[in-house]
Amino acid sequence: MDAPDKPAGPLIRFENVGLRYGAGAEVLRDISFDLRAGDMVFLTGPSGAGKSSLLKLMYLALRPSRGLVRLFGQDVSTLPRPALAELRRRIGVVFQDFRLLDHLSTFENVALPLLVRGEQLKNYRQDVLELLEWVGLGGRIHARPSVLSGGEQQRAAIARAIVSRPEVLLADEPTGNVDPALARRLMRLFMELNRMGATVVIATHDPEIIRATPGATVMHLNRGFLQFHASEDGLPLQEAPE
Amino acid sequence: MTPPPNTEDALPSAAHMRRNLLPRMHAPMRTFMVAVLTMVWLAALAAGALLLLRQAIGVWTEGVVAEATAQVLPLDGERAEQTLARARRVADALAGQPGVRETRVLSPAEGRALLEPWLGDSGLALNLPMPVLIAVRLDPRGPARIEDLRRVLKERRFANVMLDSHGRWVRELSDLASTSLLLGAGVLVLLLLALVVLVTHAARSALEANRGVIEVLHLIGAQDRFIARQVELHFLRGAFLAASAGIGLAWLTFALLAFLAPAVGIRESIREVFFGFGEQTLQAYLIWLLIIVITTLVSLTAARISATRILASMFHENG
Ligand SMILES: Nc1ncnc2c1ncn2[C@@H]1O[C@H](COP(=O)(O)OP(=O)(O)OP(=O)(O)O)[C@@H](O)[C@H]1O
Ligand SMILES: [Mg+2]
Repeated sequence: MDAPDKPAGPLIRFENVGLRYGAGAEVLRDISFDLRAGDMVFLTGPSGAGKSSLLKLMYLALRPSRGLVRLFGQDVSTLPRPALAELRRRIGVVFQDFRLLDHLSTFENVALPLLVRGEQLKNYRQDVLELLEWVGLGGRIHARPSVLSGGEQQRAAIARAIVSRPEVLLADEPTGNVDPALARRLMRLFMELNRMGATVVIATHDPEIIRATPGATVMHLNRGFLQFHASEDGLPLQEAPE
Repeated sequence: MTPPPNTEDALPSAAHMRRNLLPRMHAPMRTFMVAVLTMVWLAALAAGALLLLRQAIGVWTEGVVAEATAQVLPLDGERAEQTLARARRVADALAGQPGVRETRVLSPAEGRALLEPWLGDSGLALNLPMPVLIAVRLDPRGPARIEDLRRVLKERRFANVMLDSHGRWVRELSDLASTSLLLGAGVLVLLLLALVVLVTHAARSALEANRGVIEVLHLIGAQDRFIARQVELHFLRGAFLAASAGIGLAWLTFALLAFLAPAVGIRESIREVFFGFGEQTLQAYLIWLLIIVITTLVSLTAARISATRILASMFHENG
C-alpha cells in the first residue's frame, strides 16, 4: 500500500482509530492504515466485523471515538462543516442498503450528487444518460427505485456513486445482489475507475471476485482488528464467529 | 436497451428536480398541510366574526346615539287632544334646532304599542292619562346635545316635557360592545397561539419523517445551507398553499352565510364586511393576508430550526 512510487501523501490515513456506538463495546479497535491514490482494496471479514462501520468513518458519516482520521491530507476532526461537505464530494459511496430516494426517478437519483453541488443540468444530462445506459438501466430512467429489482437498484446506487468521478470510491457489498456475470461486469467498471486513478475500496464477502482481481490489497477485519493480505493469496481462513 | 427517441425530452428540468428534493406528498407532509389549512380557516373565521361584531356594534350604537325621545306629560285637567297639540308644538320647536334631523309625534296607538310591554294589553291602559311620545332623530354626524335641547324647551316655557337621550343605554351598550370585542380578540389570540404551536409541531414531524432523505443529501456532499434552503422552499410552498386554501375556505364559508344566515341583518353585515367595496372589506382581506403571511413565516422558521437540528445531529461527536 505504501507504494513509494506514488508521489502524493496518503489520501486516507487512519491512526489508532477506535469506534464504539453509544456506550457499547468498541466495534473497531486500533485501526491504522494508509490508502494512496490508485489503491485497490478489498475489505473483508465476517458479518458484524465492522466493515460498514469502517466505511462510514471513511465517508464521514461517523466520527471516530478515538484516534485520527485524515482525508486528503486534512484532519477531519478539526474541519468546519462546509469543508467536510467539500471532502464528501470527492468520495463516491455505494451504500450497503443503496439509500436511493424513493420519490425520485432513477435518472434523478443518479444525477443527485451533481445537482446538490449546483451544476447545470444541461452539462451533465448526457453523462448521466450514458452512465445509466452503461450499467444497463437505459430503459429504466423514469422508474422509481421501489419498482426496480434488487440488482437494478444496486446498479443505480453504483451509478450515483461514480457519476461525479470521485477520487475515492467506497462500495459496501456492491455485488451482493447481482448474478455472477453482472458482478464481473461491475468489477470491471470498478477496475477501470481504479486504472483512471481512483482509489477503490470494496467491502465484500465474495472470495471469487477478490481472487479475480490481482494486484489488490485485502484488509481483513476480525473482532475489530485489521490484517492485510495480497489478493492473490485469497482470503485467510475465516475465524470461527464468536 | 436503447432508450426511446423522446426519452430526453421527458426528462425533468433542473428546477423541477430541485423543487422535488424532498417528497411532496407523503403522509406527514399532508398532515402538516391539513393542520395549516384547518388552523388558518379557524383563525380566519374568528377574525371575520370579530369584524362582523365590530360592524354590528357600530350600527347599533349609531342608531341609539342618533335618537332621543321626548315625553309630553298631560297637565292636570288637560284633555288628550290638548296634550297632543302641545306635543306638536314641542316637536316643531325641536325640529328647528341644529343637530336635529327630524321629529315625529307618535300617534296614541304607537305610544300604547311602545308601552304595552310594561302596562299589559288591558283596556285599563286606555283610561290612564297617556304621555305623548316624540321621536327625535338627531344628525348622526353632529348630534345636538341633550342639554341644549332642554334649555330650548325651558326658554320656550314648555312644561311637563321630559327629554331622554338614551344615554344610559349607550353607555351599557358600549360597555357590552367593548367586552365582547375584547373577548373576541382574546379568542383570536388564543387561536393564533394554537396555530403557531400546532403548525410548528406538524412542520417538525414532517421534516423528521424526511430525516433519511436529508441524510442522503448530506452524505453525497450537499452543504448544510443548500439543504436548509430546499427545506425552506418546500415548507414555504406547502404552508402558503395550505394557508391560502384555508383563507379560501373561510371566504367560501362567509359567502355561504351571506345567503344562508338565518337573520337578514347578519346577511347584510356579511355582505358589507366581506363582499363590499368599502374600507371594512379591504381591512378584512388585509387581515386574512396577514394570517397567511404569519402562518407561512411560522412554518418556515419551524422547518429551518428542525432542519438545523437534524443536520447538527449528523457527523456529531457521538456518532
Ligand atoms: N448504528 C449502530 N448502533 C449500534 N450498533 C451498531 C450500529 N451499526 C452497527 N452496529 C454494530 O457494529 C458492529 C459492526 O457492524 P457493521 O455493520 O459495521 O458490520 P459489517 O461488517 O458491515 O457486517 P455485514 O457484513 O453484515 O454488513 C455490529 O456488531 C453491529 O451490531
Ligand atoms: Mg455491512
